[in-house]
Amino acid sequence: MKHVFTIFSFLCLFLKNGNCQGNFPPAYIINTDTAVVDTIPPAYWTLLADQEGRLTIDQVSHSPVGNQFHHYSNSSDRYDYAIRTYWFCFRLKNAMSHGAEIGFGVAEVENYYSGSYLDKSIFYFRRDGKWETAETGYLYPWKRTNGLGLNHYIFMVIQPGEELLVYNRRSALTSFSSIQPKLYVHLNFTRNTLKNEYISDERLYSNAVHNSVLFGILFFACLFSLLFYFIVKERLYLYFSLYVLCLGIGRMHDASYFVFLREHREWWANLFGVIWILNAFLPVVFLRSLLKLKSLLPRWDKILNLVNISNLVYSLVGILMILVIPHLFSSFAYGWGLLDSVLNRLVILLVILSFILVFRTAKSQDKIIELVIFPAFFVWGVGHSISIMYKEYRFITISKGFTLWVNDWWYYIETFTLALLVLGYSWELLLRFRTLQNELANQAIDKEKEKRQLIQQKRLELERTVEERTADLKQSLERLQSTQHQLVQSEKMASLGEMTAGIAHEIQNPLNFVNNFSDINKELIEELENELQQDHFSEARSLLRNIVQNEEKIAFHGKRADAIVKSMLMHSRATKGTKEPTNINARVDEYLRLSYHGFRAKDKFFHAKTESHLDPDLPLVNMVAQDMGRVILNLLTNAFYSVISKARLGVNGYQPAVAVFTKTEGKMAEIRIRDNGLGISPQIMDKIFNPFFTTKPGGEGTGLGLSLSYEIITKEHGGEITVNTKEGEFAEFIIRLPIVTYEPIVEQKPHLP
Amino acid sequence: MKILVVDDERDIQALFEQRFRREIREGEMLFSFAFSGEEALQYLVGLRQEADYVLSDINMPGMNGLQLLKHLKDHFRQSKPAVVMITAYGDNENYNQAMKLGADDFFTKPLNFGELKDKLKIQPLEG
Repeated sequence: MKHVFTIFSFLCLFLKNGNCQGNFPPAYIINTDTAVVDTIPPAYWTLLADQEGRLTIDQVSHSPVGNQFHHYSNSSDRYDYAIRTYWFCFRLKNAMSHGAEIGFGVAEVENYYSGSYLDKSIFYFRRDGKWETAETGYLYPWKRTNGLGLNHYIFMVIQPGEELLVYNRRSALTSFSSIQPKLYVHLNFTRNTLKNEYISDERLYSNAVHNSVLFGILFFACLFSLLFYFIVKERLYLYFSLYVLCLGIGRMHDASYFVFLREHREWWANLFGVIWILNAFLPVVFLRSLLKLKSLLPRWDKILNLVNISNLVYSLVGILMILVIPHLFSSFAYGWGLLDSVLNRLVILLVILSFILVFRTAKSQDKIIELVIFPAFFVWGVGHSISIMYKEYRFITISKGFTLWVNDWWYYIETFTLALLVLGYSWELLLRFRTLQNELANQAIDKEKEKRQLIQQKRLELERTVEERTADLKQSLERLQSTQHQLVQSEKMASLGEMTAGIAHEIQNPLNFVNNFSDINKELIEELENELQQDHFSEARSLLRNIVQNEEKIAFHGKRADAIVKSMLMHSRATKGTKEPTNINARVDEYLRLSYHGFRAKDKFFHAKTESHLDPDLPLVNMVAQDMGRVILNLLTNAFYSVISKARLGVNGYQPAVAVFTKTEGKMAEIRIRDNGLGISPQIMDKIFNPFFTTKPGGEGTGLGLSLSYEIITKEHGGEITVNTKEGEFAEFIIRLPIVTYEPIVEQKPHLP
Repeated sequence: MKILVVDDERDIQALFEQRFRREIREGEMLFSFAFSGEEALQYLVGLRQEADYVLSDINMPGMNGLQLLKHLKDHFRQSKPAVVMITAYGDNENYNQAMKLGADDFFTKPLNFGELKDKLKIQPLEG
């Protein structure tokens, strides 16, 4: 066992000795630590590509792997996107009499956009036969790094005369934005360098603070604009919103790396890769919309849009190739990157030209806004270019004076221009808001106008309709009136006809009798002559009696016809009487008695109860006494006729009764004549006031009494006559006459003091 | 020949009796008189009197001539009297209605007694 252990130990020793042999680069001699030395020249370091990224320090420090370290050559060691890990080997020797204070920086992978932050570095230092390790690099979470401060320098002191062997394993993130990187070893050492770096660290902090504030403002502007977009739906606000968001996030790059997202750097690096590309794209989209290039310079706008989109697509295609065909992409990555930077600069150039072109034609108000916004774009464009140039040619172009001043003050300049941009844009927003408001107000006014017009129109329509309707109505009214007139005319004609027929009938009958009886008498007289010639005296006497009887009939019927004609004449002169104040009570009482005795004279067995209920307060009524007397008499005659007719029917226990009543009804004097006779049947109720209508047998009534009464009461006296009846039981005629108080009556009875 | 004359004018009786005094004297014609439609019905139905002719006025108070005509035409199946209506001149409406109700003849006032006499003599008896 002992032997075995001895052999093993020997082997180990042998292997260990073998690791530092062969192709170590010559040691870099440190003569001074006051100078700033950025890089170790390529002659002093060797490198090894770790294809799989799985090699360990033991493997690389021993053969056979260790033998593969070689010096960097531009042709063979071009950066390969497929290889993510490199090993570097170099030696340092302190030739000074005191210890050299050195900060081991990162062996950088430099690329256009994102600087040198995208790697993880492990340093292996060989001291006292052991490996000391230290981790640093921009992709390590903050807590894990052994580096110094923000710049991650591994601090080390190399003793006088000490020769230090260093291995550095560096793996880079194949970032979305890492296009065409360069390989070199970057050492910052000496105390002064560190001091400078600390100063820049301080600045980083202050930048982080003011960038955060700026981000806050930009983020607010983004939200504000987004809100505006959702209200007015104008794309400009959406573009601005996205633009300032990208701008804000871009400004947060360093602050996120070192402060806010320093524990999640890899995640942030990937996200930022996308944002970086959008940061080149969105400002142009926004600007096109803001300057209204599409309407002002449509062709120019087309070109700008095309170039901008090409730039975006080109960048994205590059990233896609890095992800999918990294090895192949590496072979033309340089050319790709070159064209990419050309496109970038073309976009920037076009943007600045756009400003100039639009500025010439813009209104003064727009000019101010453009002037305010332009610096931000200028700084964005130029800054972009300078930054690229600075990174590309930093070793050549870095200098003092203006460039350095710009570099120092860059953040402030950018901040200032952005503030101007936000202010200017807010002003623009306000103007637009006012314009929109005006537009809305105008729209509202237009709507109102339309509404009014509509109302006016409707009103006119309505008026027209009303007019039409009115005309229609007028026409119908006229038609109606003429029809009515015609009706009245025809009614008049009808009643005239009726009357004529009535007259004819009524007069015809008595006239027939007159004619017939006179004819007969003529015959009888002839016969009488014959009889007398033959001396037949008794026959002659008989004939004479007949002749006398017939003469009486002739006289009777002649008088009858005469009475009818007189009644008719009454009709025609119904309105011609003179009115005087009359005591109705006295008249009514008189007529009642007169009428009753008239009937009694004809029929001695007739007996009826008569009553008069007269209102003693009834005033004098102005009337044509003769005519009104005729009316009352007529009504009383009818009443007695009715009770007599009923009495003749021989109803048991029937007691004929006729009564008159007078009373004052407001401004009317009322006369009621009531009988308990036959009453009036409902069938003839509507005919009773018609002329020549009668229920009496021929010769007994003319049928003119009630019609005449009606005419006298209504037309002559302005009163009314109504009937209240029940067939077989009673009939009651009610006359109402207006009481007119006459001055002469008062004068007749003056109240003398 | 039995003739019933219906008219509300009472003097019609005297007129007929004197106009037809020869026919009456010789027994050719026998006149009865009713002064309303009701009286005529009473005479014909109530008193079961017969008539070859009913000569009726149309305008009468109470039952008028047309009502009487309708009644007679509706209720007398056998020994139906011939009904002759008399009314004022030119009363077409009543004429039409009377014809519709089955009047046998129509005379207008003033009556032409000669014509009436001829009609009543020539007219063969019906029913």
